Amino acid sequence: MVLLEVQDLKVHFEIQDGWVKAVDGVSFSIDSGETMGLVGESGCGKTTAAYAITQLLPPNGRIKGGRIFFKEPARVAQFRKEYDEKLKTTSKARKGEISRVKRKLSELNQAGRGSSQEAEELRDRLAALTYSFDLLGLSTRKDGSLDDYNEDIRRIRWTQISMIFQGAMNAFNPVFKVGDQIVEAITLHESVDENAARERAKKLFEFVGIAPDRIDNYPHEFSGGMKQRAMIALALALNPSFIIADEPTTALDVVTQDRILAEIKRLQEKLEMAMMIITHDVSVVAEVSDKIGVMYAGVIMEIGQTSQVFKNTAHPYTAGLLGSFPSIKGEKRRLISIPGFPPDLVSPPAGCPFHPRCQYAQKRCEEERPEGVSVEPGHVSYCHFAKQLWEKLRRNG
Amino acid sequence: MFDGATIVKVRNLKKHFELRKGFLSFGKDVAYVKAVDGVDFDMRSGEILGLVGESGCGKTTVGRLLTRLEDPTDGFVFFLGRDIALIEGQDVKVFRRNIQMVFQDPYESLNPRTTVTQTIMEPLLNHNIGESQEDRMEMVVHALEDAGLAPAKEYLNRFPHELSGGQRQRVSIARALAVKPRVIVADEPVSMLDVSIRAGVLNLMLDLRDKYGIPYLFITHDIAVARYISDKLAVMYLGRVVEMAATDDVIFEPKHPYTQALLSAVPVPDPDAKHGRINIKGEVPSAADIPLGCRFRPRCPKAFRECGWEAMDLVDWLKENDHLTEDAALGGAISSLHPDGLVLRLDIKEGVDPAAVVSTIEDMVAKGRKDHPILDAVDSVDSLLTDRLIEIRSKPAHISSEDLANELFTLLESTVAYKELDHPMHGIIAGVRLNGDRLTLSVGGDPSNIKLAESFMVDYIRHHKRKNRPELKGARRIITNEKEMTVNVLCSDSKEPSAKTAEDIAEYIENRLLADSSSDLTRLVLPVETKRRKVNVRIMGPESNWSALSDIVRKHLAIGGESGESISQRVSRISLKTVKGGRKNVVAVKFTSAEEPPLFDVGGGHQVACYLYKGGGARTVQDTRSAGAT
Ligand SMILES: Nc1ncnc2c1ncn2[C@@H]1O[C@H](COP(=O)(O)OP(=O)(O)O)[C@@H](O)[C@H]1O
Ligand SMILES: Nc1ncnc2c1ncn2[C@@H]1O[C@H](COP(=O)(O)OP(=O)(O)O)[C@@H](O)[C@H]1O
Ligand code: SF4
Ligand code: SF4
Ligand SMILES: [Mg+2]
Ligand SMILES: [Mg+2]
Repeated sequence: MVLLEVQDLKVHFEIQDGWVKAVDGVSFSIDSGETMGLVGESGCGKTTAAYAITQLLPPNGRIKGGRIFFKEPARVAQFRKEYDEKLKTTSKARKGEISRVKRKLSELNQAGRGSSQEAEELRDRLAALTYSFDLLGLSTRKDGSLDDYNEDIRRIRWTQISMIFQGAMNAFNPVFKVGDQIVEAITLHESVDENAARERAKKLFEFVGIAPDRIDNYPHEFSGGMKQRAMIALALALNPSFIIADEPTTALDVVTQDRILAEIKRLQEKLEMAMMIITHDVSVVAEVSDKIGVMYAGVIMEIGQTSQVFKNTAHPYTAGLLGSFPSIKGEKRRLISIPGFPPDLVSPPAGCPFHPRCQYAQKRCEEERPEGVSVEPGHVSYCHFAKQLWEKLRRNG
Repeated sequence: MFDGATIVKVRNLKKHFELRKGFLSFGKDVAYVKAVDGVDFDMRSGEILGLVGESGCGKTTVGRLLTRLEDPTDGFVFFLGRDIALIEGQDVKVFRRNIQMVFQDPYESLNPRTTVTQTIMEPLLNHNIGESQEDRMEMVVHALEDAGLAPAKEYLNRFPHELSGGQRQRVSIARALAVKPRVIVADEPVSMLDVSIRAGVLNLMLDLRDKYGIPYLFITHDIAVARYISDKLAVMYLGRVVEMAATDDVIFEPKHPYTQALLSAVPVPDPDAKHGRINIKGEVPSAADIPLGCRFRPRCPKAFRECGWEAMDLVDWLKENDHLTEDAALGGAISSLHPDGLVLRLDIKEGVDPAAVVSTIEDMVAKGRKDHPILDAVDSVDSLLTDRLIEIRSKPAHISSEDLANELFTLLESTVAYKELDHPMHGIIAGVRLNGDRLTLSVGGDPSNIKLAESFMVDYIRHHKRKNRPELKGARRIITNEKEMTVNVLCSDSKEPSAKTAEDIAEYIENRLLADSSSDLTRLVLPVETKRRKVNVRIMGPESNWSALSDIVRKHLAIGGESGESISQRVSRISLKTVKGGRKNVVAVKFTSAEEPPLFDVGGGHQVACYLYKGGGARTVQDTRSAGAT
């Protein structure tokens, strides 16, 4: 079942010289219980995409388009797609349809049949027509900024969607005990007393592999790896159905990273929780993700099941990225370096943003933004020549 | 330059940073962060040596010691045969030119206000390289194009902020190469770079090595990167190299338990790769508090009896095995635990018979010895009379001219390996003789070598005098004899700093007692402590042991020996002391001390610092606990 669906998301930042197109048309979906890896070089927009989902944009960030559906029931999603085929988002026809559904629903209500199957369906239709499961619709102001105080969003954040931030090492307030900070998060969102919250905090500590008696320690008494675990405990405190982990192991040494990744895998097995893991390290996603989205310059280049993206690579950028990672397994082979460097997102290249660095680029790539090309079920490449290049990239990769 | 000749030799290199504790802390008020704690390796021309390990293990400090950005606490770096600590004056400049560094952060290492041309030109001017300005300009262009910034003229007038990260790092590399160094130390040179750019810089560094044969010390925490670029790998843990071999020998046949665990943790960019995870316990200990014996022991899944256990391990073991709970035989009898190095002190509850506690522990040890290496390593268990000690007072030592000559002789023999073929003084120093208060170096080969040997001795004495042997000021007369081809150091009487005297006595008496097999008592002696000018010796067991030990101590200090004579001169008084303030009921458990494992050669130049490989091949350990592979 689809838990989160991101549709053509655009998030830009206003700066002196114009707009940074940090996320510029990104779509993907995550099923419940599924782990998606979002991978790409630094500055390609991964964190920004995550922040849009949790609705925590910096003040100069603006939503420039797109929708983020969260926990949308399957039937609503289906109706929505049907309507989207038929009607334009803000068309008169849609407005007409909305008032028609509303009228019918109030007729049913008056007839005392407000809980009939028919009425249920109409309510779902109405939700579909008005995009009522779109998180952005709830909180986006006219100018594209997010209303941080929106009640609906605040209820969802942490309780349903929680986040392990990049640099979690510094996420705890140094003057309070780590345990107290977790207890506070629990009591703030749930009506449990402090003792019960404390017990839960201890259980969480145990779960992530920290001795429960250490909840009375201050952050500086924890090593980097322990802080990261405590951060995971905090993210789990309210039993969310979706966790976003932004570079959860980047600042850690391999031994600690390995433990945290093992921890994450255990979470995946034990709790039916969906995750999005953001990282620049393809080895990390290879280890923990069911599916992968490869981002470059604010857009997704390729998306698919992990083994599809790794083994049946269908995008020149992905092939380049994978080819530039050394491995401790197998024969040593010369790394392939991608010429040039990632573009400035204020004025990214037109057409396919990868074209200045792509050895397969044609005239068309400079002009036309590639649409998604489905190369196999569940595997999409945003390259004009995905079908033609697929065989070749697969062999090289 | 491609002949594989040794360019850099690192021996027993140490760097201990002083760490000031709060002024309220009692006892020792300085502690040391042992960032680098006895490192050995060689760098050969044309060879890339990868130095890997987790953050904080001392990699950067090794790099800084090699480039003399930091002075070693102990040990040596030989560059083309010369001890770099002895390089002075004009030679320093030459040395700096010859060892170039490339840093992690190209943003910080380039001056934001100078153009690419100025950046690369500066060291050329500094070292008087090139005949003319045109000549140098040509070198700048050449260096840039070498570093993949072609055509160079596009970059010459740019400032750092007008370059991408990868380009900046290429400029740093160009700058380092422009002066034609003999060695490059690169500290995490690609860690800050984007992944798609990293490969290009790594390939560049490989190509330049192939072209010029300059050896690199390539420091990185990224093992996959290290594997890619290095010919040889050295794995560091907590200030020491624990394994060193040809790169793929380390990667595919790791021998040290730490390397095995480390490699098992490296993620692989392949979703099908099977992950055989080897778990190691806990976290890296602080470099200010390094475990005794093998420093990896507290976390080692294969640790056995000989690895050097200590009191803290026993406390952990007792806890883990529930011996400290109130209802356990031991836990119920003791009030507190005080681990201190090799000795665990257990304070006994009022009314409990220490002898009973001793036998509880002895039983535990006897039963568990086979299954738990830690119990196997217990040396002795007995009661301890805390108020009884033997105090040795030292007095500032007068050092006779003979003793000083002897000291210098020992120092020279243990630190200058002139007998080894590739030592710079090999052949120049043919031999060293001790003759009363005179040390005689016989000089070999050409008569001009006399000058070399003389200046070597002058530097050598000056260096050690400054560093840790102030008494060497008594060795100031150096006389050369050209006819006999000798350099003679005449020693006069000198004085040893009083702080050192007590430590010398402590070390002497400890070694003596350890070697003394005439009495069973010596096994019960606790590690000797020094307090300023006093040396305290304690012994476990009944009161009678105390006076018996005092006789033994007196015997050793009186008998003396070759160096013993000077030791007994430094003792002013030996007394039995009873500390006021009453006696506590204490039981002590003492462990055998063990040396740190040195690097053992397991064949083909593969070196491993682990007792499993003592004497070459892998040792079959009786203890069959698995490595914890999952
Ligand atoms: N508050 C901001 N104002 C302006 N630009 C920003 C801001 N935050 C991020 N950016 C820019 O947006 C782009 C994407 O950033 P980010 O989402 O953090 O990338 P990633 O997480 O992939 O490294 C980058 O070019 C970054 O410099
Ligand atoms: N100038 C210094 N003063 C005190 N401690 C230091 C200093 N430099 C490094 N250290 C300590 O020495 C140890 C090794 O550091 P470093 O050589 O930087 O390790 P690495 O490069 O492997 O991360 C660390 O514990 C570090 O905190
Ligand atoms: S669309 Fe063109 S430029 Fe972009 S990846 Fe495909 S071939 Fe390369
Ligand atoms: S010597 Fe070897 S076996 Fe013993 S603790 Fe050290 S690494 Fe482990
Ligand atoms: Mg980010
Ligand atoms: Mg470092």
